[in-house]
Amino acid sequence: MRKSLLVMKAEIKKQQQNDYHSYFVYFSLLVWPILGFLEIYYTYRPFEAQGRDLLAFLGTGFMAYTCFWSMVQNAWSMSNQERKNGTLEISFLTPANRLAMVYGKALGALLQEVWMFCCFCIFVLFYTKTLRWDNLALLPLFLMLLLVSSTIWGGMLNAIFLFSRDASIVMDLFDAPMTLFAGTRIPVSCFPKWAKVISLFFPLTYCLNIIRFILGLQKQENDVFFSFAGLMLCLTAMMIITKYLLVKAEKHNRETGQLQFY
Amino acid sequence: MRVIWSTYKKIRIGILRAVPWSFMVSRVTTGVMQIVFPYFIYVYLMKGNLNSEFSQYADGADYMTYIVLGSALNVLAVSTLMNIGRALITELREGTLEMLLLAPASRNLYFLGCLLEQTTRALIEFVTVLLAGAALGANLGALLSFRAFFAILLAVFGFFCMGIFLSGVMLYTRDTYITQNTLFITMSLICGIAYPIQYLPKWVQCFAQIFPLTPAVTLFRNIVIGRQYLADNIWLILQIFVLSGIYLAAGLLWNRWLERRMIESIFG
Repeated sequence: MRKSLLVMKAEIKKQQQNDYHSYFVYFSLLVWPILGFLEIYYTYRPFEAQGRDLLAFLGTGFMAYTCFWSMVQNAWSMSNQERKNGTLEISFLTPANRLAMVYGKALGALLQEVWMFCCFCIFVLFYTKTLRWDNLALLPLFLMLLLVSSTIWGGMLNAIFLFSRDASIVMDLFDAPMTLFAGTRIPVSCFPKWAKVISLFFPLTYCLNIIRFILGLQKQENDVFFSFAGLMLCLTAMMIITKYLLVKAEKHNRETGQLQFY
Repeated sequence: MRVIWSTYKKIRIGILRAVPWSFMVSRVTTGVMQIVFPYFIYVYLMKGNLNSEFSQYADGADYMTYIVLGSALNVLAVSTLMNIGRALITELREGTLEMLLLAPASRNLYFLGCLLEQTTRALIEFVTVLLAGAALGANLGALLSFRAFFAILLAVFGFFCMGIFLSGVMLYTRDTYITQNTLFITMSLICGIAYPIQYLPKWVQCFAQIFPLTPAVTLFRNIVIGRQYLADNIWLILQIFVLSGIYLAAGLLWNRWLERRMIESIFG
């Protein structure tokens, strides 16, 4: 356990030294979500729905989504760079726990995630009066929830990236539907049946359900326990997949000396 | 001509061997998402209720057609800007820039080769997004005309000129990730892709006019949705040409200065 934590710590530190070399990086990490948020807000403008409810809804959606996005983005750019620099193979020669390694890679976005999380909470949620001084204590809880689930999500995608240099398409194929079906921008409750079924596969759906329910933004029949159980199930399944993929990639590597399948 | 063709071949082979799918799938999914997301709001959440401002701003256009045309042109803009802008810095990263700078081939022809290579790919993405849009109910019958074709060509020309300028920015800052993403997010926010820009504050609308995408997308919509003639949109066409000229001149001058400096500072 101590060794695994050490591996994760090392991965986080490595990424931060690699990526956060100038203030522009921090600046862009704040500016992109804000611009993206505004774009979504204006996309709603041709319709009648407006006002603080919509802002609070989009605010929570964006807050949760940026956490997931930053983990995945970081994991992807890291494994891409490691491939180019030739350090990916070396890391597979070390005795470090592989699972800890992928989760560490995902967690490299930790700092950025906390930073964006805080900014979003202050800007959007206070403005819309969803977050008040009396429920401020919920924030660390949300952060923990998002942190754990997005790390596991990022770890799984990271394991997929081990299969090919060109694997970032997987990220796009997961990421774009996630923004749509997980209900970051449109309430899941208005979806047709097939879309609701798809939404059950994304851990973000459950996280958002829980957060919105606690903040009182969502008055739905399915209670918070159902979401929580779903989240647990989803995360367990993803951990098993991650483990399986890692074993498979390493076995392939031992036989052929390569970390790509095509 | 030989320079154009060999640049074309070199880049195409590199892409086919190393990363055949990544960027293409990424842009197509982004483009399709830009359609599907408004579609979901329009059809499932709002059940087709638009406010009166929209038809006033968009000249009574059909919502889905409006969105699809914007998104498809945005995909074309992003891929042209990205491929032209990143061309030289990719050479730098792969370690071939020095050879390129020393070679007698003209840089302008090199960029034209990049343009040729990337446009053939970008058109596939463009058509994919349009097809997805047509499947979701956009009315694209007027696309198959000379006018629409001219509008697309003009747009690509505008993006190309801006891409040359962008190439200088990227080479100067040695950064692609932050520059390109900031630019693309800004463009899709203010250039009127998913909604008429009249919803935005006035000063943002003025600022949006410096991007060739803004007049290009208006022109494209006027032609395909409004069935207008090119002569009705002479001011938009002129705006694209003026913007292109400015970007091209600035980009070429800057690139020349940068190359000279680069040979001294990087390669020693």
